[in-house]
Amino acid sequence: MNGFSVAVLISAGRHPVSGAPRACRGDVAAMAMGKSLVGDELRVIHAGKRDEPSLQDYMAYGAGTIDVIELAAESDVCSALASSLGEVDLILTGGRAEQGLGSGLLPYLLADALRRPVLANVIDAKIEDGGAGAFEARVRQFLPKGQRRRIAGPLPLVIAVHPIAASQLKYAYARRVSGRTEILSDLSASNRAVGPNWTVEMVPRRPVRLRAQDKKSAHARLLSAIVSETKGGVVAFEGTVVDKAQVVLNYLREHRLVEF
Amino acid sequence: MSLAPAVTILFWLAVSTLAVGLARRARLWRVGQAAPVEWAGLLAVPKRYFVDVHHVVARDPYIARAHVATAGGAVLALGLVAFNYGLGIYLPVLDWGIVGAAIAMLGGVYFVWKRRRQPPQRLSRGAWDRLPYTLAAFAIGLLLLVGLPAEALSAAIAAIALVFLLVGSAELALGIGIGAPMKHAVAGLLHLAFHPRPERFEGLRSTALKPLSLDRQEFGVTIPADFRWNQLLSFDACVQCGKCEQSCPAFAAGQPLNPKKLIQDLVCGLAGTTDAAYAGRPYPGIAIGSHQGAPHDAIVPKLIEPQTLWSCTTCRACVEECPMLIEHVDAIVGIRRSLNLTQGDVPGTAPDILANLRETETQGGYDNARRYDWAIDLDVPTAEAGKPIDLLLIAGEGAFEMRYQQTLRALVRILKAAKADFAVLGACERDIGDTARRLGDEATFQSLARQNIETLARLDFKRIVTPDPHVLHSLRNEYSAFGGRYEVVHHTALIDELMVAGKVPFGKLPDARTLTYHDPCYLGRYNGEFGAPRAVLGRLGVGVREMERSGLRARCCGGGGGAPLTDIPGKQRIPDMRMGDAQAVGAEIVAVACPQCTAMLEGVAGARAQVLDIAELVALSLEARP
Amino acid sequence: MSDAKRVDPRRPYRMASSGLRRIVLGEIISGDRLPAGEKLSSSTRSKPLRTNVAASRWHVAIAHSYRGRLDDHAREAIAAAAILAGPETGVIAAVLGPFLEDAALLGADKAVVFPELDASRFQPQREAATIQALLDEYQPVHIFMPDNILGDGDLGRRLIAKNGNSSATHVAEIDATHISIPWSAGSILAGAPLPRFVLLQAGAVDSNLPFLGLGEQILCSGAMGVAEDCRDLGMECPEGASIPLEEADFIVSAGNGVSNVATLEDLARSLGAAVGASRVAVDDGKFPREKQIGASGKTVSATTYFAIGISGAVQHLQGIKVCRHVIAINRDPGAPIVKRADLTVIGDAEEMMQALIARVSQARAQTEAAEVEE
Repeated sequence: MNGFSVAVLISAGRHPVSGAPRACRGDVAAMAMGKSLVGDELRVIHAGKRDEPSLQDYMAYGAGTIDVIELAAESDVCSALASSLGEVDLILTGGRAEQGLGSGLLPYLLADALRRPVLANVIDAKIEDGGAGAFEARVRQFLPKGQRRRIAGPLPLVIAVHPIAASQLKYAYARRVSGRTEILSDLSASNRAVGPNWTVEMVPRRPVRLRAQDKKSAHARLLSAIVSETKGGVVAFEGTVVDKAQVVLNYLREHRLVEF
Repeated sequence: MSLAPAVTILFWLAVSTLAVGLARRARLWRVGQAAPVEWAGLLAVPKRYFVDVHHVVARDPYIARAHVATAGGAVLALGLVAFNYGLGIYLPVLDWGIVGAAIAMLGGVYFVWKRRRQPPQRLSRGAWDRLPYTLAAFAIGLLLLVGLPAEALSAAIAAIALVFLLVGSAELALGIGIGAPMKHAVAGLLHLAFHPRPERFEGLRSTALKPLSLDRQEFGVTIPADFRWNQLLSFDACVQCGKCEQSCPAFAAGQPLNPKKLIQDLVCGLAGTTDAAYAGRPYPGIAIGSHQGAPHDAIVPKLIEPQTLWSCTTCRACVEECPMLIEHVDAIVGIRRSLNLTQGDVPGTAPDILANLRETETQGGYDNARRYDWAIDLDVPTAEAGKPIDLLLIAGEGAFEMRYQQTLRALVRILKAAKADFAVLGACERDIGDTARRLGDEATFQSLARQNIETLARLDFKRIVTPDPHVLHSLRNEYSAFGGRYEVVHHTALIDELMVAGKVPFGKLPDARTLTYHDPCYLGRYNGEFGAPRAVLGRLGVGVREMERSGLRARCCGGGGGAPLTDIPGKQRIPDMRMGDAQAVGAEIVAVACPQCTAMLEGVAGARAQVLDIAELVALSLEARP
Repeated sequence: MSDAKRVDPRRPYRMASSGLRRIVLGEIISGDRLPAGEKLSSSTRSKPLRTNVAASRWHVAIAHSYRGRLDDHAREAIAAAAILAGPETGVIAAVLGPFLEDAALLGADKAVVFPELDASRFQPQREAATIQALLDEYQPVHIFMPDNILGDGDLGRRLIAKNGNSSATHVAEIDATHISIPWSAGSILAGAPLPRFVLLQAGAVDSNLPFLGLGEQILCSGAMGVAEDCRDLGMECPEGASIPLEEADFIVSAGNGVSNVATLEDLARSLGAAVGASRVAVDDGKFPREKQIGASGKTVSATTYFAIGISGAVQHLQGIKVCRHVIAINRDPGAPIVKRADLTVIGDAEEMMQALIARVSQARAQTEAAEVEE
């Protein structure tokens, strides 16, 4: 026994192109982190349908037994999870779901409901024993441009794992067929149906960019249309190397690509 | 005093030793899994030996003749001894036969000995170096005891002769039982009889990859005992001649694979020993003596390291070169299956590609509906149920690749010029599964194969044409195990056929540069198609300047078996070596016939020959026509 | 009667580069020096004010600054707040961290700046409490934030979790009545009415505005006495060259035309960039395999990709498909990279690199001197 318990929440993943059921990549990273902390004592929890096809993928990645908190569609995942995870010291989640909204809000809502801190974009974690049953997670948080921040957070804690976190978990077909699920709660549990009304479009399209209405003359609009459509592709032949270096620097500055 | 009874006693002693030894060895083989056995194979041994084995051995005439003399002499001598002395007939006239056979054997042994003085590096040394001496001892002992009149034999000479014969007989009889070099004689003959892929003797190419029964938890070869018994037997037949290592592209590139060592390691696993006695070249970069195994111990990593298995391009050059007709590649894929299915332990980018195959049915994670985007302006019909067509064009994964789309477009132009009745498979085409299967992912392969078979069953076509030999191979040879039987032609064969029928208005190739042709492994060695591509090139009026290794013995581009995905580092890259081969014959154009080869050879950096698919060359000639 | 704070028009002011008078509350003006940030401002022509009506309700845009500036993504959030604001709606830009820019140019009527809450420090609960107080004070109709990984995405979600459900994240399309997000992170959009909290994806808004905000700047201190549950143990800031290529925002990449690897590395260092290479350069043994960019190497997503002596084979271009700014130095104006690049300089790689190193370090020194002076 480790003196603390760890659970990972896994969601129904979908491939972004084909929509095929799969293990959500971010959740696999979270599961890998959990495995690295407590090995097979990790509880793997899914809130959703009991026959969710993507669960087998998690088994292939080594989930072993998955506890399924069975929910009706459209019911409030967060409150269902909050009511059954109160005792878990460390809750791990992926960054965002691959199916539907994928808001990445769940770890925050869950942390708020359980009144515990939340750390997001975590790429690795270890638990240190502070003595007297107090444990502390030492994590590294992902920041852009290769930067990392180190943070210490006391358990109980919710950690949202960044998908870049190294996952040593490997997909093995044999584990896919040997894994199993355990149904935790039944549908009769009162689940408040929530959620805004999202209208899902049928045909893929590019989002329209929001632009300010410009009350310019027709001539000015035409000019700007012409200018904006001759995109990129500037070639500098002329001048000395110093001039050319200046051209590059100007470009970098103009597009705020450097800070000097 | 006649020494004839002594020879008789010695003979029966040797026979009983051999019987005991053989029984022990057979017990090792029988650890393996059951395999369907044709006892009639025993009757076929002479034909298989004199035709099929000879076909391979004759590529090295020196050792072929030496072997005929040595083995032929030995077999004849032993036969006569068995009859004359074993049965106690003691006919003096037969003694002359024995003498003749012994002399022939001695002659053969002389040439073996001579080669062994400065052996090529591919040959194993160790116990094999002893063989000329022990075999010579046998021949000389026999010669003295049988050939010399009893009165001419002094006691001393007789004693020496007996000792010689004893030593020689020990090598033959005892050696077989304890796994010394001479085991190859018996194991080799039995291997010919019970070969894991008897189809090969009927000229059928392909492999012996049996579909795994995943429902019955068959996950490939984890321990040596997971091999079928006749595979274990085949490993024992190895004579360590190193022809495989000489032809292996991964070995040449300095990747940690040596097919000979691999087979010897498997023999260690079978016999429960270490590789310390192995006296050949190692896996590049891995020291000898570090491997050990047992029939029921995991093969990886103590007996064979994973990077050895993942270096293989499955080009089957080793299989083609092996005089003992061992099937190395099937063994490698068998172990890969276990690694993949039970551990998921696959290096490089292969896990991502396999995930893509599971999740998108394409290797690159593409949208299947966009597979034929390259044909959008070519007005190519898509196959539909209930609309009969002659030819179904299956593009394969190359369809997503900008470079290979040019080849596909060229092929479509040719088909249109020939007014062929064809359609593409369209959005319902899934990856054929070759890459998954070679990487050991039998589950994904089977799932893809079943779905593809279902798709194809809905369509009404006569033949399938594909420019991808990997697609061709799977559809033609491996889908049949799942009930999918199709007539599949490679695009080069189809173009050849259309040319012969006068349907393609081709001209002379307007390009006068020197051209060579690179045989794709999966088209050539796997499917025996060497003629059509060359015939097509010939009709375009270009002479093919053959590379040193071409046709049946062509060197791989490095692109097969998922090797570019597992990407095991070596000292150089296989495609670089292959383009070097082309350069060596002064080729300025390398004609290819496979998307993998195109990608691999085009990936070679620096000044190199231009890589063009045969379809592109034919399309060029269409345009050049006045 | 508006309850907006009135500004005494005769208070001391300074001239912004846009030609507008700028009044900063609590600031004592000494002379007419412009802050460094203004000198770089691309727009110097004067634009009309967005509205002349006093604000009776508010839109708030919230973002962390980075070295005193807001990045494109943050500007888009402010622009969204301004574009969607009616004449009587004011736009507040809440800036966490020091802010050296002219908020008026970004379309903000007020810039509420919390210099102590800069992104380099980890104080999520204090940030949340501070912004919560701001929201409680102004009761904004809509709140706009860049959904980024710099801290705004995190802060936004913390605020959403506290403030209830009217929210949308990863917003890719927005107008006055609705927002759309990529459903299942794919190419299908899903729409909903414009919620209170809007976390915007980069690129959803054009930050070029034809109007100006009032640009009033208010310096504030963050909430006091907020205990953090988690402790900040400090940052790990790798050198440019050691940043993994997949994460790097600026990559200097070498091809066949680069003979001197040391010069290239110098240039990368001076630009704070990671080093990449084409297949040819890797095969030549000049760079290790893990530096290889392209179809058979790594796919990168840097904002700036500086291709030096790279001809631009199809396989290489595949690996830089999503890079927003591609700059090339090449000797051959016919090389395929020229078609892809936004800016190509024709010339010798070695000479150009040397000249750039000199120019960049000079420019950097000037800027730093200017900052110190301030």
